Amino acid sequence: MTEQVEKKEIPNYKLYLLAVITGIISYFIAAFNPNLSFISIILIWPAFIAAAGCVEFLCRYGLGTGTSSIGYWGTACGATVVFASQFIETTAYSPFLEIAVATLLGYTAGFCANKIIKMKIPRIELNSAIIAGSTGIIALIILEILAGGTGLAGTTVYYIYPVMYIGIALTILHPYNGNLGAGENQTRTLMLAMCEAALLTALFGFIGILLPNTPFIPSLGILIISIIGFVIFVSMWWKRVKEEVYEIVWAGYPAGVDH
Amino acid sequence: MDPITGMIGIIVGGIIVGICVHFIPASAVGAMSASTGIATGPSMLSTGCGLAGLYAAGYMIGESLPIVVLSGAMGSALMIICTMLLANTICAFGTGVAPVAGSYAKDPITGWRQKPFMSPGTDGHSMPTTTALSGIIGALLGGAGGSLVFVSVYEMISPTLESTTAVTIAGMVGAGVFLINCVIPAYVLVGKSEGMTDKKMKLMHKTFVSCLIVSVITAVFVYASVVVM
Repeated sequence: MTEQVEKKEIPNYKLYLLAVITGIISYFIAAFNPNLSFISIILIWPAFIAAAGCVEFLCRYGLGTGTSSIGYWGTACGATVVFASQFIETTAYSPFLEIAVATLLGYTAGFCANKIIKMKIPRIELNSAIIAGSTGIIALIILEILAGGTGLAGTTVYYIYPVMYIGIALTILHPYNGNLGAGENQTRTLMLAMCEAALLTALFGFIGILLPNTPFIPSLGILIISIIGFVIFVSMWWKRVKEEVYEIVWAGYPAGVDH
Repeated sequence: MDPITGMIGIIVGGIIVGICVHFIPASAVGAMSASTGIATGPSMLSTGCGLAGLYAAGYMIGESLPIVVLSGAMGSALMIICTMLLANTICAFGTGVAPVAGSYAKDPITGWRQKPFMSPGTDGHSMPTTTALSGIIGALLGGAGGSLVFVSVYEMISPTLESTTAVTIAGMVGAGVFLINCVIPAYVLVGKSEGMTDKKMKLMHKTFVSCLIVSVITAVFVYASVVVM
């Protein structure tokens, strides 16, 4: 008898801790040496995974709102904090402060949902905080990369705020929707989040090529690295999908019998 | 506008946005004409209205505060009126069901009976008169609240930034505050609302308190950013 061992899921707070560490490193790489921003872009992928993991966790409990709402709402918490603070003079503490405020805003909204509205969704506060913090990290670093390390003042990067907003929201909300069904599991969902993260960063690489303030070669590097990442992640995700699908046979014939 | 007034504007606007969602008739099962309301979640529909309102307010930026807020409210109301008109048309002539509500026996405005026209096993379909009016009130509130946030942020940051930059940032912050506050009531409405005649209107105080807390944090952060800037 084949014994199926159920794989343990990765706790979302661990994914978030990883996302914060890699995000901070990524920010300082992009800020101090914009030519290395193609390394920064790899380091923000964990933030997408952490946020998508929390959307998956929350939506499993049947939210009062839809998957799309939680994605847009989480992005609103994180990205709004970052957008509002981009024109402040940057110090070494800025990224820490912005991530902390985004996380706090997400936690407060989750707290209100659970304690005031009494949704009784387990750990909604923590997961809301992680979604908001992760989207804050993503928005912060993408803006820093596209500004070419010079700060946003005097650039035209703010033109792409809406694209960033929608892109980040879709990337964190879609993996759960894309893997819905009886066989939905965390690993496959997070793998799709990685595919979509790479696809989105490829788009920002392309936008970076077009923007006048963003250095050309690093933007091209972002585009190429993201496309390579996308191809690798899609092949991994597809492998997982194939592992979990059932063999389709003609009705009335068991699998493996010629007919 | 001084930063303190702007901060208060963001808080008030955020709360109005939260309240507006209670008035918007929307339901996911409305797609199958199994419930009164437009066929989507109340939050997403409110977001659509609010963003339409922000566009309308953006055209009036630079005018006095009431003009911009009124413009936003009108843009938002226009959007939901068009949506409800088309939804009612599709239900009446496509699906073949009359606009009726499940939450009242007679329409409070027209006095028309609802139950005889309701399909068995449903909670109503499309938008009868009172429900449609509720939607318009909700959209007016949402557009006004979103525009108030937009103008408040714009007035706070415009002295230090170029006009186009300030409009873009104010628009995105306005949209962000709108999205944060309009999703919170979804937890109260649980995906379905018939508008002002719905029993869930009694739970509005929960939305009020939640939106107040969240808006205060957002407004304080924007205020701090502007003061540091």
